[in-house]
Amino acid sequence: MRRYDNALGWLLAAALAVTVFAFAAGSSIQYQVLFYARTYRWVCLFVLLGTALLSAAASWSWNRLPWGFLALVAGLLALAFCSAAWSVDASLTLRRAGSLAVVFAIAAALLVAPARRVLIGLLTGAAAVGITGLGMLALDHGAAVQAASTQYPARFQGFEQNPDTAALLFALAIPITVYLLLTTRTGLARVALTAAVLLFVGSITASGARGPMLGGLVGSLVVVAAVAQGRRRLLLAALTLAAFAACVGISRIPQAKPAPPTSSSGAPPVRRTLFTSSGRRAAWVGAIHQAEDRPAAGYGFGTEALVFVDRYPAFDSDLVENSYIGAALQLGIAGLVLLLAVALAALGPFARAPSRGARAACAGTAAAALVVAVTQSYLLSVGNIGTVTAWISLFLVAGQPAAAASSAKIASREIAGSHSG
Amino acid sequence: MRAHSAKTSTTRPTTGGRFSRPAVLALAAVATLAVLVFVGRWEGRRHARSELAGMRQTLAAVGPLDNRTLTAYRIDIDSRFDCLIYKRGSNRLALELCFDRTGRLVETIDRRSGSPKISSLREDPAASTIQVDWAEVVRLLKRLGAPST
Repeated sequence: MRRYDNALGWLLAAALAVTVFAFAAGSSIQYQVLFYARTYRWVCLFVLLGTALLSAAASWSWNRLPWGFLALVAGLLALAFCSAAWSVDASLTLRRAGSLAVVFAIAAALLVAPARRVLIGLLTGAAAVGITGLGMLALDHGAAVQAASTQYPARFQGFEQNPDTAALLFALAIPITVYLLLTTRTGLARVALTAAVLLFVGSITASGARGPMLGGLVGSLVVVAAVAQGRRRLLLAALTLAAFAACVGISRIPQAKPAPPTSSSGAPPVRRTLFTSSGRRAAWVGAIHQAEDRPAAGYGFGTEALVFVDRYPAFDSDLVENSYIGAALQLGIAGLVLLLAVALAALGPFARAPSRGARAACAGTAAAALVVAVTQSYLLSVGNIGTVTAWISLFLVAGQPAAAASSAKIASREIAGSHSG
Repeated sequence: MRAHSAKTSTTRPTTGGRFSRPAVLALAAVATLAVLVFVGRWEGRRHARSELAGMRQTLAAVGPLDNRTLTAYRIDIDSRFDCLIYKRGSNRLALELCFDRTGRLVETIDRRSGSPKISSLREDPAASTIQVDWAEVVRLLKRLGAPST
């Protein structure tokens, strides 16, 4: 029986890795890969669902479930489905809500799975994307690097269509890698995990994506704060901050092309600095004005790309590139409040009683996911490269019992209680 | 025995002695969703009415589609819409009317003042009740030299 559970655990890790990679392939710069992956990524998702349900059936326990969190998630999902009643495209809304339901079912089934295997699966998938990106760089430099323009310097995009895409996934993978690095004991694993951290950090730095850089930093600090103690915690936090500063500094070295003296439109050329908004701010304001037209319930789940119109010269995206404004656009204030409540229900208990177990890695990834969500629209869009990883992390941080894995505080409280009694 | 009865009392909480707390919460959630369905549909209708009013104003400012101020076009917006553009004074792009391929007016832009006034139902063209003769739009686009879409 134990051998069966062990095999199932590794099967689950493999299914997770393949699914993460398949979703990355679904937004690949390589047309042939993209053509097949856009269909087969959904097959992978359903295989993962089957594997996760099989694993859950073997070790299901009603007692370990975070009921408050699950109720909020169910509310969000119900709202997504019900929004078909007022959606500008009911069919699209139902399809998108269905895909979100599949991801939620997978994440819920993983609540009773061996957490470390889940983390290894997610990490392996992200590492495969990173290694494939390096392979692309070696084989097809033009595809792997977005050429410099008058606004942007050359940016590394690896296997993906956009420099921000893979960077999002790597930002979510960094806290997992940091956690495993801090808790693993074998030398070989440490070498592999160090290489993985360098791969992710290096790829994000070369992409120049600022949101993922910040997400990786916040996620790593959460893990360090939870796992390390005393002086080691301070040292690791300082090291993390120094690495972040170095990444930001290095990412500023490549320069954009010089702008022509006068542009044909007469408009001043857009020059991007570390603190300019890459056109996002204007797009966000425009999207908020659109959301104000249907404030309470929005335009319907999954309709962000349909509703948002890019009318902003310095901005280039079909989406708002902010998951929270995107949620408000799709589901109104009701959806935004529910989404924030879900995030709070996941991370709140962890913040009150931090755990040093695998839950710390999930908290780090969830925190990174919520930070990156400020600069990218992806939390509610299942086809995105990072959505599966983000939701699995949110479920797992909500799900694992605090008392079992945690915390010196609880233990000391119990000891104090037994003494006073 | 005491521990057992305490456990029994905490695992079966009641509200008003008749319904369990989860059942009450579930009922409240269903009621909230029902209200949201009503509110969502109402918001959709109100938004469509407001956008249609704006589009009618711009259409009235243009007058007949075939007039001497028709100066430019945009085609294949989102692979779904084609637009006719009219000048006012020195502004060659002052008024814009966009139609879907059935002749429904789905978006208008009034650029006569500082910030463009946009009225749009491009996310839900079926909600537009303003219809023009699509053959007329095609004829005008051809006259302006637009390639067929």
